[in-house]
Amino acid sequence: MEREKIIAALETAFAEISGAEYEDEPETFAEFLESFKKFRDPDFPVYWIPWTIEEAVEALTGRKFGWHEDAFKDEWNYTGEFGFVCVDPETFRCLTAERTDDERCTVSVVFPILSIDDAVKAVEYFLQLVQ
Amino acid sequence: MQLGQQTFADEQIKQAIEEVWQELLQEADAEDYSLEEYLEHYRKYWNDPEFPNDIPEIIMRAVEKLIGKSLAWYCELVRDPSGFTGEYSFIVVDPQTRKCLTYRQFTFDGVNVHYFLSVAGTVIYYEDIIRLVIKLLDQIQSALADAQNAALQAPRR
Repeated sequence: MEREKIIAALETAFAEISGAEYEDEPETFAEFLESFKKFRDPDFPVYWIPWTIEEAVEALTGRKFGWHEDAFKDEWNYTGEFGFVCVDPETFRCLTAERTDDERCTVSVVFPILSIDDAVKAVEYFLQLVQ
Repeated sequence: MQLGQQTFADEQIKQAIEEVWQELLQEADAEDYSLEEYLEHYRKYWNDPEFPNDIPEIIMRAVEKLIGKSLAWYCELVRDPSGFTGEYSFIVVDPQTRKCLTYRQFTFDGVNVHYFLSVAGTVIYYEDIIRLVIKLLDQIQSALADAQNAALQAPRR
């Protein structure tokens, strides 16, 4: 899928998620990520980031999924890494589960999301996963 | 054939937890101290990033021991702005089928479907560990039984 289409889906999703908070000049998702990269402080509405990714994936595929997201934190700040678990609600199959080389099974995927490029990569990963 | 769920007495669960605790001590080559002692430190230092939080490992290994099956799992340590809340959120997957065993769907109005992906609980005292193990056992066994019943009822060629 073209990058422009993914960015448009991300911006639409972000506007919906953050919309109520802004009145005059709404911040774009790309700008929001830039501020997050600079400050990463604990008061930041950090979960807007994974929610935006998830909404964009659902909008682009026209399907709903079960999601769990985790914003990783070190002792002071958010690290900029996010853990995601994605489940297909029709089959209950965990789409992010992966067998490892040592025959174990992991449940989540982790992405650093500190820029719009990182966000596009995460969406591309999920699109490939659900198709 | 309807497959049922095995129920466990609190004593059985406590025994499994104690066995797991001994395994963890051995693996870490640590001196012998009780889980109760560990929990005293845990209550004091759970927000210290250097404190080793073994609670998820204890809970899931006990669950695996009791049901006799290896599971894939993810655990979130739930935090609010002031730090760790003491709450754990577990997502459990059957590594063979990759089915999410903690996934539940529900609807309030018959139209909008909501879901839970995880089983969560707060751990402060020993009894909380037992309670969370029971909660996970109930959910996981029920999901495994549903999957087996669905497989038995599926039309065969």
